[in-house]
Order: sequence, then C-alpha cells, then structure tokens
Amino acid sequence: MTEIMTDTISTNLQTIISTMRLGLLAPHLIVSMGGILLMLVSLLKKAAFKINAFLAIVVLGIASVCALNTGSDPQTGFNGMIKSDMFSNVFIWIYCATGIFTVLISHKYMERRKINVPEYYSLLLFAVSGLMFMTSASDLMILFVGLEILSVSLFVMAGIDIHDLRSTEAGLKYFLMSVFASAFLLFGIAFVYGATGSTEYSAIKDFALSNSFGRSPYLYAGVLLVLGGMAFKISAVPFHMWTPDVYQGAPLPVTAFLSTAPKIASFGFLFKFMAQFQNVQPYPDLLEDIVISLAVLSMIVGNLLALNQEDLKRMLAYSSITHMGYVMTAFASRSDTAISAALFYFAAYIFMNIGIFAVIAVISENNDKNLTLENFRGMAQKKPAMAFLFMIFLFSLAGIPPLIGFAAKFFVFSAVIQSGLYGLAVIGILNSAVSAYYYLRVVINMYLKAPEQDSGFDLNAIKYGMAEMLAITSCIAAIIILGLQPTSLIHFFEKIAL
Amino acid sequence: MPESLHIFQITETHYIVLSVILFCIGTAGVLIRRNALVIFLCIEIMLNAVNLALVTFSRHMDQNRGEVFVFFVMAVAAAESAIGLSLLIVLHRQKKTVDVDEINTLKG
Repeated sequence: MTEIMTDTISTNLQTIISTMRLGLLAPHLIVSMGGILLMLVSLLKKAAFKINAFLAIVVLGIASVCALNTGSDPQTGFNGMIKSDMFSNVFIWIYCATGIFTVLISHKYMERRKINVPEYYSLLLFAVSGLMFMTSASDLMILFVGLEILSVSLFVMAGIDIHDLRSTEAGLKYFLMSVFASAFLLFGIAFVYGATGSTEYSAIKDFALSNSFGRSPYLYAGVLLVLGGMAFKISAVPFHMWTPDVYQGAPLPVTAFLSTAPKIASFGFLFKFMAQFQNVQPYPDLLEDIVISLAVLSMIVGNLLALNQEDLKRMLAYSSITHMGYVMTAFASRSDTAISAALFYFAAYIFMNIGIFAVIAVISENNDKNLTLENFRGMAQKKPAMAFLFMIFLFSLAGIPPLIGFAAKFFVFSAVIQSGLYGLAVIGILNSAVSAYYYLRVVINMYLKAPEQDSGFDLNAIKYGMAEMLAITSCIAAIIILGLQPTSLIHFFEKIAL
Repeated sequence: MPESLHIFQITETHYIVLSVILFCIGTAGVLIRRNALVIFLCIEIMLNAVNLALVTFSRHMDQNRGEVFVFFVMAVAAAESAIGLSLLIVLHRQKKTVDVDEINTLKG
C-alpha cells in the first residue's frame, strides 16, 4: 500500500518537474542564488564589501550569458506561468547591465559615505531577480511576486543609510506609497481573476476576445486598476508624488538604479499584458484615453516642475517622469514598431541616466549636502574633462543629435506618428524642446558662469576610482556609437514579436 | 428557510460589495490619517479586502487558484510589514515622531 503511494507520488513529482522546465528560469535562479551566496559572504565581515561587489558583477554577467542560452523561440514553463522569449531576454540583458553599472558606481560612493554594508549587493541581486520575474511572467500571480521581491529589496536599499535622516525618510515614503499602489494593483488582479476565472495572460486574452470589455465590467475595472497600480511604479503623473522625494533622499547609486530598471520592468509588464487585448473589438475608448492622458500629463507636468528646480537630483527625478511620458506615448500607440522603439528608448535611457548619476556620484565627493545647480558654476575651468562628460550626458538626455537620446526620441515619435496619433507626437516634440532648457541650464552654469568662492563645495577635491570611470566611459561610448549607428540595434529590436 | 428570510441570503455579490467597502475604508484611511503606523494599518485593511475578493471569486468559480493567491498576498504582506516596521523604528530613533507631516526633510 505504502509502496503504491510512494510510486504515485514519485511519478507525480516527475511530471511536475518535467512541466517546470527549470532551464527557462536559469538567469532568475542564478541571480537569486547569487543573492543568497552574497548574504553568506557578508558574514566574513572584513573584506566582504569588496568581494561582494566583485561577485555581484560575476553573477550578473553569468545570468546575462544564460539568457542567451534559452533561445529565441517562445517557450512556456511552470504550467504557463513563465514565458521566455526574445522579449523577456532583452529585458534580462537590460536589468543585468543596469545591475552591473549600479555595482560599479556604488562601490566608492558607499564606502565614502560609510554605508558599505555588504548585504547591499545581495539586495541588489534580489531586486534584479524580481525584475526578471516581472517581465518573464505570463501569469499575474508571478508578476505580483516578482514586483514584491523587487519592492521589498528597494525599500531597504533606499533607506540603507540609517544614520542619514534623508535616506530613512526616502525609504519610508517609498515603502508607504509603493505598498499603497500594490494594493490597487492587487485589487485589479482580483477583479481580472473574478471576470476571467484565471490569472494567466493567455486565458485572459481568450476571455477578452470572446467577451468584449463592455460586457464584463469586472474585467474593465480590473484592467484599469492594474494600469493605475503600474502607473505609480512608472511614476506617471498624477501618480508621481513620491518620485522627487525618494530620488533626493536615497543614496545616489540606489537612485540611479531606482530611476531606470523598475520603471523599465513595469513598462515591460504593461507591454506584455496589454498586448493580450490588442485584437479586442471594440478596443475600449476609456482605456486608450487614460493612457494618452497619462502620457501627456507626465510629459507636461514633469517638464514644468523640472524648469525651476534648483536641486539636481530633484530635477533629474522630474526629467525621468518626462522621459517615461515619452515611452508612454509609444505605449499608447499600440503597434509593433512602437514596442521596438520603446525597447530602444529603454536601452538609451539606461546609458544616459546611469551615466549621469555616475558623474554626479563622482562629483559629490565628501558632500553631504544636496547638490544644487549653483554648485556646478565654473566647473569647466576646474575640471574640464568631467564637465565635458557631464555635458555629453545632459545633451543626450535633451535629445541633441547625434547622441543616442535623439535617436531614441526619433524612433518613438515616428512610431507614434505611424499609428496616427499626430497630436500626441506634436506634444511630445514640443516637450522635448522645452526640456532642453533645464538641461542646458546646468551646462551654462558649468561653462559660462564664474566659479563661486565660498560655496563650501570643493570641485578640486574630485577624485574618481577605476570602477566609476569604467561605468562612465562605457556609457559615453554607448551613447556616441549607438547614437551614430542606431540602425543595427533598432533592427534587432524590430524582430522581437510579442 | 422561511420564505421571508430569503432577502437575507448572502450571495457572492454581498462579499464583493463588502470587499469594495473595506478597500474604500482603507484608501480613505491612507489619505486622511497622518500617523505612519496607522497608514500602514489602513494599507493592511486594503490588502485584506483584496484577499476577501480573491476568496469570494475562487469560491464562486469553484476553483482554488484565488485561494492560493491569497497565501501569496499574505506572505508578501508579512514581508512588507517586517521591512516597514523596521524603517519606522529607524525613523523614530532619529526623529522621535511617526507623523508623516513632520517627516519633511525632503522637499524643494
């Protein structure tokens, strides 16, 4: 009797394991195992911070190579909960690159501010694995778990400097607002589940195709709530209130990570999820209007608030809201060209944003105060090389050709025009012109203003480590090379179908 | 059951309405209250409203997917409260308050 039972159990286990297909999760598992390994290394106390930085880069490198291995054909595993294809692989590469850059700019900065806790890198790896789960998921349950792995790690990372009130405050604010938004997302998922009887994307798609939105108020409400919860993570206006505070308070490398990867992951999920409703007839007007108004509001309000901002980190926070508004226009146009343009924008955004934060991390040596635009007066005379690099990043963010920021905006807006949303494209281009004002303000401060004598901020003291220089130079190289030759990358992204 | 009691029969809709009411109470609490701890409690009310909705839908459709999801939500909520409360303690050590209106170092 017991033998029969153990037999059935073992055959059951075998079928379960064969449907799991662990290989699809290779990058995710490597990164999360790496996180646990780093926790153990942290016990070594002394050199752990250095070892962990090195190990984190190795783990992220291996994970990105493993993503190559899963191949380009779409494969589903875990009873349809995970879908691995080129789309999710591209995102895995983006996360790994962001993670590696974050480690590179973290090391010296964290040591200087005496927050060199070795567990920091372990949290970073957990966050990256959460990001990977978010875009590989093809089930809302997995999405939720991935999102929370990410968020819980980010709360601690934002508040990691427990001796600095600003950091703690940023962590707490991010925590409260993020959990609040998660509740909306969850309520939306519950309604989608109630309407369709499943949390799997494919089942939701089948349901939406056979019953239109109008006949299923639960599905309608659910999708709107999911969109609202995600708009918070993207920090689209009017869900942006937390962004400037958290960016300003969190340690710089954490801000660099926070301003790129989680937003990209949230967009990745939205692209993947909303693609299920692509062929639903009639496509609900309200949904389309809401996405368009999120895009317009993010672009305009983000820009207006950035115009008079004196604090550099807050200015970059508002500028990131605007940038996500541009991507939101691509999201609103619901075409395959728009998706490839958005992917290009993400790649470009990582290099520009991480690069600019790397420069700021170098500049803010020993500086416990907030960096204001005044601090950059006369920087070109004192530190010409650093000022020049900083200027390139600012130009790229402003979208000045031939840098990558221009190519990214060009692709996004041409995709928007192709889908016939002319008004949206015009608003986007006008906003892009307006945004040049506040980026150039920094450049003017650096090049045309005389240095301040008693700013209490010594630009001559700037020293930089190898790791930071490596991050900055590779970002600069990517910005210029991909800016001059964007075609091969965009062709690669165009082949990716959802 | 006597005929007159039929109007009191509790259906799925009642549970969903209750869940929506709980969710709204939680949302209102987050927006109105100024104590970070109470805000966090209100968020927990919202999460439990979600759990109620999930279990109701699950029962209604006679499957267990929603009930499994509830365990995920509960586990995640527990992890979040561990992080959130420790952040609150760190903040309280520095500032001696958990009033969100007084936590205003960051602004501009």
